[in-house]
Amino acid sequence: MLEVRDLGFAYQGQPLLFDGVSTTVPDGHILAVVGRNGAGKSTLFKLLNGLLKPEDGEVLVGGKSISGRKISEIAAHIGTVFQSPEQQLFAGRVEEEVAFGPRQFGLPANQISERVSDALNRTSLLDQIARHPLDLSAAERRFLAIASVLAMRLPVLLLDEAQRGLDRVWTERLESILEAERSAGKSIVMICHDMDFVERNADTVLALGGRTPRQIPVPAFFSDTEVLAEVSVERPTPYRLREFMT
Amino acid sequence: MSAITKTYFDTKVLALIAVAIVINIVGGQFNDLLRLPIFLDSIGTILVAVLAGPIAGAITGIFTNVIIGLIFAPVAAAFAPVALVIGLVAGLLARAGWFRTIWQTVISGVVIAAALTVVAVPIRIYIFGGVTGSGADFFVAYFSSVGQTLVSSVAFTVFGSNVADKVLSALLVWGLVRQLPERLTAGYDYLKFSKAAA
Amino acid sequence: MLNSSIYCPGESSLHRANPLTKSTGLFTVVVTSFLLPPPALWVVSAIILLIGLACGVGGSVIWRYVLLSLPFTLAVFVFHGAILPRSDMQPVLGWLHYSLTGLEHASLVGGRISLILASSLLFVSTTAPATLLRALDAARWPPGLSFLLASPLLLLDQFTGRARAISDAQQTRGLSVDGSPWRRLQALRMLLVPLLTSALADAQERSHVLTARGFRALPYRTVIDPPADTRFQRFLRWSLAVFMAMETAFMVLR
Ligand SMILES: Nc1ncnc2c1ncn2[C@@H]1O[C@H](COP(=O)(O)OP(=O)(O)O)[C@@H](O)[C@H]1O
Ligand SMILES: [Mg+2]
Repeated sequence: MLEVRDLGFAYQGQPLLFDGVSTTVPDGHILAVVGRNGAGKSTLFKLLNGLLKPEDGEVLVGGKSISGRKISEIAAHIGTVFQSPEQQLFAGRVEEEVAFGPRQFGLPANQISERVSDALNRTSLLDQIARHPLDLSAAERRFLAIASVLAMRLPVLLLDEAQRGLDRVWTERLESILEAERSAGKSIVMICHDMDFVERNADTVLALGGRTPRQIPVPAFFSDTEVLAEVSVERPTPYRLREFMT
Repeated sequence: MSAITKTYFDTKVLALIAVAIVINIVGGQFNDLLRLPIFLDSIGTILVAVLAGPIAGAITGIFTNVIIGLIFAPVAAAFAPVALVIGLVAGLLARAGWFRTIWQTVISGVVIAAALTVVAVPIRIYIFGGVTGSGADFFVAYFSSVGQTLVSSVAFTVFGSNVADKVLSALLVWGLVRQLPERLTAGYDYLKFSKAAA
Repeated sequence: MLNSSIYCPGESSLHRANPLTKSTGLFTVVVTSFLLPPPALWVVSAIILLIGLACGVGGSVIWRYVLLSLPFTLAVFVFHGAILPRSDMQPVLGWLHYSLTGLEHASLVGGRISLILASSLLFVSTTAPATLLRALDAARWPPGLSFLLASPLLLLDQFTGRARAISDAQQTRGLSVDGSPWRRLQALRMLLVPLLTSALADAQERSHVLTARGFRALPYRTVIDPPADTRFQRFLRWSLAVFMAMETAFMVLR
């Protein structure tokens, strides 16, 4: 379970970006963070994974506060898939890339290789195991970044625009990974611009950029025209169709 | 120089040099994070030298220092000849096949440090009087107070403060070019001289 | 502080002067500094800083000048005046000695650096890199040269951001930046390899773009708005060049 309590934050010399933001992501739950550009979605992720320190409030994983801990320690609880995977790929082989995270935990070699092949299997990259990460296609690279995080087997997952630019096959693969992680009891937070994707996969929505960000169940969010206008997001297709029909 | 840039380099090498200069300038940022006692300001130069040869390496070095001089610290421009020698010597070593194995690369790093010392010492002594206003001055002061000449005091200090940095930079470049996919290194003529036989 | 760029925008006559004139002036000062005696070096340094004040860049120039030259000046005086053994060393107090010739030498070297530093700071703080590049293009320098000056300047912010993003990404994967020196060395690889690889990918892409634009087709680039130049400035540049040649000849023959 991931809990955010009364989070307050401002970049130096700027007005408060977050003021008393609270949200709870129970085990086996997917929260979608939405909002226009500059609303603070990426900043929220950085406050969760420790890259930024909140001025107020705290972040708890499994009931324990992680605020104030070192980034590399928080990494043992929260995994982040960044928007551009190129920023983290360093290894000469796919396999080595995925092994990096588990290796930080000091696991024995057989457990590491078990986790690596499991993660690569789940991301459909098993036959690419010996290739250079940069020889993969853009979608495969994104999934390699996801595999690197899956292999760490953490209770909390953050995904920044993981669905962006994927074709139908890869999108379905992503959705089945998300579903499996949810069933495994993970707390998942995803930044997402694609409202159809949000509607299909998320349980609740945290809309940033409005007056007071609140966590709202997906159906309620997409029916609330006021909030939708406030954070300027499009309605997903099923809702637009329904509106059209009535 | 204009003849060189016009005929010798194709656009590919020019583009490589440009990003390598940026790497030289930005690399130090990681050092601030990791607090290692090295400079990390010539990784781009050595990379270019290994991929595209001594002249390209030398040009990377000169332009790095000129640009740093132009925007951050004018003093850096005075050390442009030192940066030139780093690129030149690294390129010659690469041409001779001294970036093939790990031990050859370590030795190459030491040779680069020695070569740059030969150029840095006269600049430091003639223009700067042997000191720079940094922590390294304490070593120069120590060596001269125990009876070393000014030249050898400065030489010990320069070599000593550079050898770890150059060996590490050379090793990083060696490790990198070994694992790079073909696609990223295609078209750089000098790489074949550093490909390990074994 | 020293990691931010020095240029300060302004409208003074030094800001408006052609960058080629300013750089010729800078080179002349540098060459001349090897001929001037110590007192003159310090006086001219002060004059240059005053010119900076008159051009509205004085604050930043003087601040940087102090920051950069103070430790150096101190070091050079202490080292040559009191540490480096010389034949005229005199005892002052206990183990403390001093040497007059050492102090004179320190004043010469320190003054020269002070002058070179002050004048290059003045040049850099009144010359926008972009204007300098346009001046080089207008003077028909080969495009390869101005490309090598211009594109790193343009890429610098982007790569600084990228380096930052890489260190963020690796730390959230558990990379620790404060272990033993050996651990930190390994961490260095995890940070540098993505930066270098992405740089190489960038280089490949740019070279395609440049080739497609016919980058090398012309021996020089045409500039749409070259920095203003005047007949007086051209005359001044030639005179300074002749003056520098004479100074150099004098130094060599002396
Ligand atoms: N490092 C930073 N320093 C100062 N301001 C920043 C920084 N990063 C982002 N911002 C500002 O904070 C706001 C939120 O940015 P961000 O979290 O990136 O939004 P989003 O991801 O929703 O597009 C924006 O106004 C942005 O300009
Ligand atoms: Mg964002």
